[in-house]
Amino acid sequence: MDDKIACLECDLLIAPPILNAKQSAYCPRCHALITAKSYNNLQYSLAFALSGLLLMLVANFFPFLIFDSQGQILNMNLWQSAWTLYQYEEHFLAFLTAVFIIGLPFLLCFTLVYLLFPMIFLRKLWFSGQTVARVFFEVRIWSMSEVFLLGVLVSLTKIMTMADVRVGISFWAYVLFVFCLSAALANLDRYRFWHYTQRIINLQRGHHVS
Amino acid sequence: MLVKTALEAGYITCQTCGKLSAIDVVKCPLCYRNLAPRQLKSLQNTLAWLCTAILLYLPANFLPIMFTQQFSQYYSATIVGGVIDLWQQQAYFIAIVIFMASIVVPIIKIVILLWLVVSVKYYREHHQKQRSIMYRLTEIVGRWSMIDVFVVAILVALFQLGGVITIIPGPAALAFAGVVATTMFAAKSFDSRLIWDHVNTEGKQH
Ligand SMILES: [Zn+2]
Ligand SMILES: [Zn+2]
Repeated sequence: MDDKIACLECDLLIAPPILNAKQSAYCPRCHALITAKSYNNLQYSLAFALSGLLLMLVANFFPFLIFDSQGQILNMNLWQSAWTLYQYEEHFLAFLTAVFIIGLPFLLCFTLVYLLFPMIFLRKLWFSGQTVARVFFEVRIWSMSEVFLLGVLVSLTKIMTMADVRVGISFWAYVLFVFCLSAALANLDRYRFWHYTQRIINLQRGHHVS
Repeated sequence: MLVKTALEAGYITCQTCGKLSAIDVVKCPLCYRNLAPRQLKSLQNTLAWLCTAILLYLPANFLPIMFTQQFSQYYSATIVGGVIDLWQQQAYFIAIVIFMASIVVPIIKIVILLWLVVSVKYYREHHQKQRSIMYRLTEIVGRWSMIDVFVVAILVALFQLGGVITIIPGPAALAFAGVVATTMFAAKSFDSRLIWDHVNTEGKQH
């Protein structure tokens, strides 16, 4: 069973690609990506996820946008867009906004560290690693931090003529966070990740038997 | 060369981790996902999500997405109205971005997915490769439609801090978030392997 794999998009049976840093593998029938070319990509993914965690913490402690209104300087923080929606009785929309732009992106970084750190350095999985990994792959499409960032740029353009708004430290931290999260996700190759997970499980089973 | 799928060889492919399991296994041994040879009721679920998306698309575009209050005057703006305003402010690039993300992308996504469902049902053996590409496209672009909802969220928060203008979120914001979410669920419900089933194998089924 382990000498074959199947394309996730068309179910074609193919031989497992030989893991080579310089080549990507595509399905011969539907051209879906099977595994991406890379060098140490899981290590990169871990490094970016760790930086992302730190940057997200930074993004929480400084002003996100700075609003100059009639001599008064007003700060808006990262949570304010969701919090204001909540105050306007848009509870569900507020919840979605908080989850899509802060909660989920942060959790994805956290989960990556939780999964990749023990995998790379300890050759094991932490508690419920396999389930956590499955949920990670199922929810990652709902993280929308980069969409939010584009939204910030659009908003700034929209109000440029009406108000004096500058970006704060938190904004730059968030920009770097989005870069790190995107890089961490781009370096996380599904095929390699599960391939190593399987190897670690086999290894642990082997230890128990002997 | 005879093309063979995992299912025809007697295996179930896990859609999360890619592990092959024997056809009678109910839970993936690697990631613990519940296994089925193909996603259950894929076409029905996709259609149901699409119908919901179409129903939500109407209030999302015809109701105001935000209200602007300046002194005693009160304006409401729809998504299209916002695009026209940006165009008149000569912010052409951003006007196009918003127009694409909020109006074009959801329609294209709904049309593509409807076409995929119909083609799996009636025209199995045409343009599989193009349909695969289209499906991948719908998965990638869908999230970007949320941009206008985020713009409203940011403007509402900014002007609540101070200034002479107050901006209040309108009912279209939630409806629009609903459109994005339902089209994403529709794309997720669609099992792209159905495009390729019964193709190029011994017993062609019609
Ligand atoms: Zn394929
Ligand atoms: Zn699995």
